[in-house]
Amino acid sequence: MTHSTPAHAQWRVLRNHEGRYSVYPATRPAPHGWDIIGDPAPREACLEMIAARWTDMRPDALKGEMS
Amino acid sequence: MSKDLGLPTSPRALNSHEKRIFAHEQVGDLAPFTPEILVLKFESRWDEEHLTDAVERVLTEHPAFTARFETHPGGDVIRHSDRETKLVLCGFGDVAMAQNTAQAHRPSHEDTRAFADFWSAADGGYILALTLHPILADDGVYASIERAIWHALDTDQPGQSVPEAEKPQIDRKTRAQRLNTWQALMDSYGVVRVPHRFDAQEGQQRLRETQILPQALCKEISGPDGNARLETTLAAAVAVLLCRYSGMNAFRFACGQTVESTQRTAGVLPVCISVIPDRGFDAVQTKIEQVISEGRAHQLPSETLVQDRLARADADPHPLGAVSLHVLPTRPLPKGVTRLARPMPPLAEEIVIVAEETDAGLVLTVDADAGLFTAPQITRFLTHFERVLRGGLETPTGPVALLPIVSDAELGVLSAPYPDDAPVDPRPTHEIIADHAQRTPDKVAVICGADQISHGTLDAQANALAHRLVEMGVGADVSVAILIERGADALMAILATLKAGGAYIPVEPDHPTSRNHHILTDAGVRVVLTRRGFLDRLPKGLNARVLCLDDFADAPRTDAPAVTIHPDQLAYVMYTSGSTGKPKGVAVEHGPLSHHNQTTARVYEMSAESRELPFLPFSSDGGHERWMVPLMMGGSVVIPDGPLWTPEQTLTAMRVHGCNNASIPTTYLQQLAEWAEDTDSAPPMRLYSFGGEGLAQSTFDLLSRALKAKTLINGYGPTETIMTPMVWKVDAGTRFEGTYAPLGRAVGDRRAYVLDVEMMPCPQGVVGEIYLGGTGVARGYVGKPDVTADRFIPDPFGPVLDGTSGARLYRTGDLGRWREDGTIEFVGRVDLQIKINGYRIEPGEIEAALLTDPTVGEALVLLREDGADKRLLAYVVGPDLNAGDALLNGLGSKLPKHMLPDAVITLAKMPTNPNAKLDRAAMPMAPAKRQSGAGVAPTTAAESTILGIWRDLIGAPQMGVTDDFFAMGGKSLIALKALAAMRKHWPETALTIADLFDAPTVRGIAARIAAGGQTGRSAIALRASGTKPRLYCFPGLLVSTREYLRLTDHLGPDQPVTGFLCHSLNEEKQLNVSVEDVVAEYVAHIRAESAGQPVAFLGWSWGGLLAWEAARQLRGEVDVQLIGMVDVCDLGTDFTPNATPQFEPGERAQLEQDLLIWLEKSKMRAQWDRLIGTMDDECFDQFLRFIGNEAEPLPFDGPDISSREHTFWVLIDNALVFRRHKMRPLEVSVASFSAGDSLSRGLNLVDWRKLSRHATAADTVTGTNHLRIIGDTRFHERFKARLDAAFRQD
Repeated sequence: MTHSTPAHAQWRVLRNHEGRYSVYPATRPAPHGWDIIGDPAPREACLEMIAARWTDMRPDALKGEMS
Repeated sequence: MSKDLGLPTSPRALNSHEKRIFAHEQVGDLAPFTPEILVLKFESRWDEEHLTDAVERVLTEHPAFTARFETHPGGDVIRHSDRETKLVLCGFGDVAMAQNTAQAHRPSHEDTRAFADFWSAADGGYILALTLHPILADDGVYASIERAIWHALDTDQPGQSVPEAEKPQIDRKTRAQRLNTWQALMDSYGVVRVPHRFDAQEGQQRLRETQILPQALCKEISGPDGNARLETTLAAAVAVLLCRYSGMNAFRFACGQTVESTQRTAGVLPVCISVIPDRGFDAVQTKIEQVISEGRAHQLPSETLVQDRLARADADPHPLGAVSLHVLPTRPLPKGVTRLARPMPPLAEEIVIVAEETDAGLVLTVDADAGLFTAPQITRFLTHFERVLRGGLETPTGPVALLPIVSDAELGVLSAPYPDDAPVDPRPTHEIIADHAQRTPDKVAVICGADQISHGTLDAQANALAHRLVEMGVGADVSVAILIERGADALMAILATLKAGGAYIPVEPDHPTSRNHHILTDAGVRVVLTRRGFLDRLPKGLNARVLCLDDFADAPRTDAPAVTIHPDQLAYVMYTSGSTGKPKGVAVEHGPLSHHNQTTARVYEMSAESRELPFLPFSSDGGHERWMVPLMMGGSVVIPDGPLWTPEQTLTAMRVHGCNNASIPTTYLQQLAEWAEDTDSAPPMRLYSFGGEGLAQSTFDLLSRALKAKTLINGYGPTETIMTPMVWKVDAGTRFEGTYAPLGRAVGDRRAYVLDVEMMPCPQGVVGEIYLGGTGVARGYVGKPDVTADRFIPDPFGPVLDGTSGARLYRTGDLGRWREDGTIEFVGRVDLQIKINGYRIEPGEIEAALLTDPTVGEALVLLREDGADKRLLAYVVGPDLNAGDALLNGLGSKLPKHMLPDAVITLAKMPTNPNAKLDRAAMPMAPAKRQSGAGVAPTTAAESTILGIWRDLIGAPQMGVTDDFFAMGGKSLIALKALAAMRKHWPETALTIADLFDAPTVRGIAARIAAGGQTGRSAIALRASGTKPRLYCFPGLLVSTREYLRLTDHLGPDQPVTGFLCHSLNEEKQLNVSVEDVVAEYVAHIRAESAGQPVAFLGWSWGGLLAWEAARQLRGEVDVQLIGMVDVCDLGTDFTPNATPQFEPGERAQLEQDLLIWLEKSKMRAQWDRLIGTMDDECFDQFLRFIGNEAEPLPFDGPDISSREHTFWVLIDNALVFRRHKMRPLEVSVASFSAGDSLSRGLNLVDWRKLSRHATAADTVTGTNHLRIIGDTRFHERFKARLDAAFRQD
């Protein structure tokens, strides 16, 4: 982890309308267009959760097209 | 009218503030102090006579107006109260006239120190304008003057009615305790700064910006506590702003304070504060309040703290703070009186913030060093200050780290991309390229070696291959590896892959197999397009279909496969270095790629006429942009048919093929431009684009000059943000302020940000991490959702600035700052990621490769600056200490060439710092060299003896007889010890330090001893030759001339310099020498060397007195064009004749007793007796007083030459030499320089203007002291300027 990562204790997993995942400090409001997934957790735990969940990284629209 | 004003009148010594100002005035440089002015306006309801009577009484009684200063021998100054200041009735005038007159008064040291003017105001009423010398007044003194006036006027005085008693003196012990506390505090809180402008140089000019905050805000701040709360609130806002500007969380700045008093007391208090980012503004304020009140409770005069800090070698030139805040106390006035002017604090710090609550509102003035800051910077600082203040008051408990500094509007402008309103073509890149095969099928598309391929042919070949790929199962999000060397075939294969709907992965055939294998297996490659010759480079058991172009002979066709491309579908996967040690695949989708290419085409002004020579490799995404874009515009590309074209080949190809664009890695550009300039062979070009490395102004100038192109583009961008998301596009010849050419602004549907660690936008000039957001970013890392989520984060700005939804920002890991023009400048890598020759290298990847060797236990890779060179060095722990080269060879098979370190250095253990962290700076630069060059063994007994002495004293057991004494770490004092030790062996040969300079090796000195003599010289040629008149440097006490080496360097190769050794370094102890005797040897040397010639002198410390005497003796023989006088003090009260020492009852007898006891023990008894024997009664008393004033007990560690006792003896001996000397006037040009610290101590600095009409006022070098000024670059620069001017006049 680089030092640019804000040193916050609690983070959240966020997911946008395209199905892309990311993490954000839990104390801040989620930027527009991002939904909160699950409860606040340490950054590492959030990233682990994403690793487990986001196994298909194709955006939702493309998935729909290809199925 | 006989009411007692109760003001002190008895004579007294100066306080520390007064002493300092007196010293400033004495050398003629009052800055940063200025005359202090107070202007009061009385309404017409006041009676004129009543007013003037009252003022005249105050002028008679207030010490500010009655002060007289009497200088005693040795420089002690006594302040009396028996002078008269007259009230001048100036008649009629307006306010401006009164203020101008007050400003125009220049109160001086010798004559009038106080002016009092009384005007009948043109618009009715009266104006009182007071001007006082800063030694007499500050704002606090004016407070007492105002009070005295109200008192004399018999008004209902506002505020308290009794003048505050003068503060009691602090005793020695308390002072020492407090100093300890301050030292510890200041050691842990560094001096915070507002980032300076580019090329900043401390100057003597100031710039000032003012802003008035509405009164409502004052009221909101002040609340019931009034002024105290105003100060802590403003200080909290300053602290938060400085924290955000500097990125420091614990630091110190200065807070001014004014106390009402009849004498000057104003000083600053260092505020040592920790700002906790997630705490609220109110918490910062509470902390500040506590820090300030504790600080005031333990206050020491600022001068004491400054002197203590400046005694350290690493002292900051602004020891108490580079930024100061002064909140002027509110002083109520009687009805019908207004205050039109009051004193400002001294403008001494880099930034001085002054706040005053007035009827109009809170007046905020920021006064800054114009050499360090620009006016727009200071205006912004004020704006940001107001935002932090308002934000903090609005949300007192919200984290201070999140208080907005940059407004949304500013952020919108700063982050904005190049303007581009053209509609976006929805088609993917390859379809836009294919369009030209329909429209201009015969137009050339690709030239490579002997091949020239038209748009039509390229498209038809790609179509044929695409159909085959579709048959092989290629489709959306299916990866196709292109294992083909850069060239026309690779381009065709890539286009075919895209047409088939697949994602291409470029694999360079000549990159190491292990890396290529990783790429081929990591991304789930389904098809490999290659050549037969490269088949052996594929990993065994690769689960992919392989098609060799040699085997593909399908007929070209004009129809592409019927494949619809979704914008979210992958176009390519590009591998970059990864911090985990393995390269990561960055996956890029068609939509953003096509958009990027289209915008880039417009920014680069590409057209069907464009013919580009792209030099970038295919393993970087930039290399692909630079063929896609010309082909998308219907233009063409000339692809080099080999990776290593010489500059000559490149320029020839450009000319032969009629190129108008070229895209070149920055590192290659320099060679190219040099060649073009040397051979004048640059073909006419419209545009050069480059990138991948910082581009210095000098290189940029070379490109402008040599390449004769109209436009230059510096491109920047991580693979994750698609090719070149930022560019800086300029006309050739543009100048930029910065070390490296700017990265510019974003391109396309992107924004570029500089954000701090809390992801808040940084103000211009403040370093933060570069983030890129918008649609122009990659999908992420193939197969690494967690790493993708870590680096691509939700974009909080897009929704506000552009109304986007669900957009992402990529954290580049690069450090940058917004420049004044809004473009971004590169500063460095956030982590230790390295970029060399345009390649991004994560040290982790190299370390990982090293760690695959079973003998390597630890590995570290660093980019080190070795002089001007940058060297990538790998450090390993574990293997045999000689294994470095073998490991380096081994890396060759694991890493591409650009990732190979310059050396692998084996260490027994990694150096660590006291916190047990890896100490990167302590890593050796190259395989540990032996410290001594030769370590040659002695051949004679004498050499052996000398070598033994030197090794012990320097602590260099490996030193040899040909190694340089000083290069091995010998210092002046060690040299003296060495001389003393050698004398014990050869008492008959009196070697001097000059011999050591002349022959600094054991062998050389041994030869001198064998020759049986010494040089006897006291002159050392620091630079033997040069075209300018020779500079002679006269020594201060124990100066060995090495002190002048840095100055000599600075003066340049044209300036010959000779230094004289201090006579006290000659160990013969002659007594009763005179200054005339001391300089006789120097004078003889100068006469012999420079008779009839122009010369210049420099005297540092007591050397100034020697230089003066030498100039006097050499009158008419040499032409002394300038004497530089560096912090030259006359004898203080200690030994000046007629400075009668004072003793407590019985003290003198006690001191004499102590002296006798000490002399009994001293091994230098004989020398002391001789020295004391030369003293007269007064001098002996002064000596006793001197001993009594010493804090330390008398030393008896002599007679060793470097002992404290010996130094003490030399000091007293010299004091007696100068005691007998009296300087006489001499008409010679003098440039004098004073150390800020010497002025602050009120030392008895010589005013050369009293001795020569050609002497100028002293130039003060702030933030340095008597010892360090000689090595201070600011002094060097100013002295050089004076010297140059003096020589020019000749």
